[in-house]
Amino acid sequence: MLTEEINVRTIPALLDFCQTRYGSRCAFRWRAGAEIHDVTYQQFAGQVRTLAAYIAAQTARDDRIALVGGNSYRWLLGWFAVVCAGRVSVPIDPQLPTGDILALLAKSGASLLLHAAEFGDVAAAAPRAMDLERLPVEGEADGWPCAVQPEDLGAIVFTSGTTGVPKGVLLTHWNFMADALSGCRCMDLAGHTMLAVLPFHHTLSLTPGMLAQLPGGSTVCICGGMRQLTKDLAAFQPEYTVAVPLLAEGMYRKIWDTAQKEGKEKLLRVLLRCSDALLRLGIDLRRKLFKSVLDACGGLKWMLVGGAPLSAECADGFLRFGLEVLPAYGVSECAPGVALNRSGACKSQSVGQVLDCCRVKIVDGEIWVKGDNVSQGYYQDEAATQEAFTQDGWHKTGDLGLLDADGYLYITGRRKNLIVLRNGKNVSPEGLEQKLTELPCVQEALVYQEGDEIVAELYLDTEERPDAEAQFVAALAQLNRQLPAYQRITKHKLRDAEFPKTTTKKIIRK
Amino acid sequence: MDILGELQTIVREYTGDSGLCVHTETTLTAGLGLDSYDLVMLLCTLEERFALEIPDRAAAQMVTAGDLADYLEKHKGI
Repeated sequence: MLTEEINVRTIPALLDFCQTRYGSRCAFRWRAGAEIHDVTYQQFAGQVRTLAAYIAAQTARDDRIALVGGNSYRWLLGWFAVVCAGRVSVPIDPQLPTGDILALLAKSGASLLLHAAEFGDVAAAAPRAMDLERLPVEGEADGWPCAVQPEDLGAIVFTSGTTGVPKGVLLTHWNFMADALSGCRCMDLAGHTMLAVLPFHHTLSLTPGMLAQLPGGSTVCICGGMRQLTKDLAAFQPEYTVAVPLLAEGMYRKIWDTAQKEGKEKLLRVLLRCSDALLRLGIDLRRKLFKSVLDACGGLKWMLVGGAPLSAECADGFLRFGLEVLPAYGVSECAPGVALNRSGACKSQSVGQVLDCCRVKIVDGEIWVKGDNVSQGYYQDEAATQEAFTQDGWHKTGDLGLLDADGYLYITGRRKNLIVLRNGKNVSPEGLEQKLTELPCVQEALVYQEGDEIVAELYLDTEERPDAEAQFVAALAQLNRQLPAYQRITKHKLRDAEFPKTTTKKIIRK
Repeated sequence: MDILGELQTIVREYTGDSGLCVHTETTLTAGLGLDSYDLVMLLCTLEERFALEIPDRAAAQMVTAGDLADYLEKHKGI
């Protein structure tokens, strides 16, 4: 754990610090087929400088520059170069359909798009685009192209608005660094190997998954995506990762599925009972007893999990095997970390203790956050900013919670109308309802979450259209094709009467 | 066996549900009883079985088993 005070308040200053402190140490590692690539802290800082100089020569100060692509070393180089050149990065979710990506480019006013090769169709429609793989990174650039201040904007991160219109969260260099350094002070992140599996456009991946790893000189192994996970765990043998519940719970379920298929479920349960008894006597043999289970998880020792509520069964179950799963809480508006469970002091039902870069208070049940990591508001959206931020800098998260006597935060519900899925994705039900009610056969629609599914409940126009249901089924299949995978409506229910409504004729939500 | 039939065999093996029927219109998540983690694992299995790589963008556009079968048919053995 980092115990010294590190005074870096911008991202270029972080790279300077890391280059001086850890020059020849491996900063990033990734796999291309069977080949493993390494880049040292010195090489990384040099490549970012070269690319930052190139980007600075092509664009103006404070220009917005968007990035789209799957996880790759080139994506990271591009992002660091943009922010170190004093430009504002706009990381875009690569899972979005082309039309949505182009809408975000237009909304952010991005003058340039840096893209992975497979986004050629987006690039063709963008005002200006460059392929990440073709950007120059070799050469000698002296210093940074311009001075970057802590209060300078580093990123506009788009997040699902409750009305379906994405909001651009404004995050400064200091928002990112305050959150990252706070994470370093309460987690053992120094000199280890971590696997970066979450998509880089997400703040959970950018800050705890990336920026917080660098001050302690850890090695970040880049996982090309969930489908590469098993191979990358085996290749890199990381000590920890940052994940979403879908991933942690999927891995946990796989352990038991495998045990069942191999007829070892009973044996595993017996071993767990023995291990629990030994632990009560102060004898910890978990990493020996469950070696094969832990090896299947790449030898991970711990996992930070955020983005959505994690089942206590998964956290507690993994702990019995000797793998600590630490629930955390954050929102993009806080860059994103607000609270996390510390190793050895985890309360699995909670999301941990509040980070030291911010304060939390509960107002009428809602979690409010104030501190160095908290955004100043939303890009060109004064109304949404005023709604979600107070004049004196508190962010109203829209999540309901409570703090216990030990300072652990518990999430108890949501004030804002938003679907939060186990993969950490947020979906606006109102955005989907609007799309549904635009269908001619639909009179009224209500969208909500059941488990991890998005469900639409509908009142169809069966008087005018006797075959309304068949029409709807066909239209829904068409609509789902236009939506990103995580927003698709997987179940629908029909009503034979209108929805009950408020006096202002709004449907009463469940 | 056609691609859809092979897909059905693989999905039955993965889910342990020997009665599961896969049609072109079966949705990949709710229809097959899979969550998105399972779907990722299923795609890994299919990539190995058909010796191909399904790009993330192509995978993201698939809604039904028919979409997946079409992709496998077009790209297998390339």
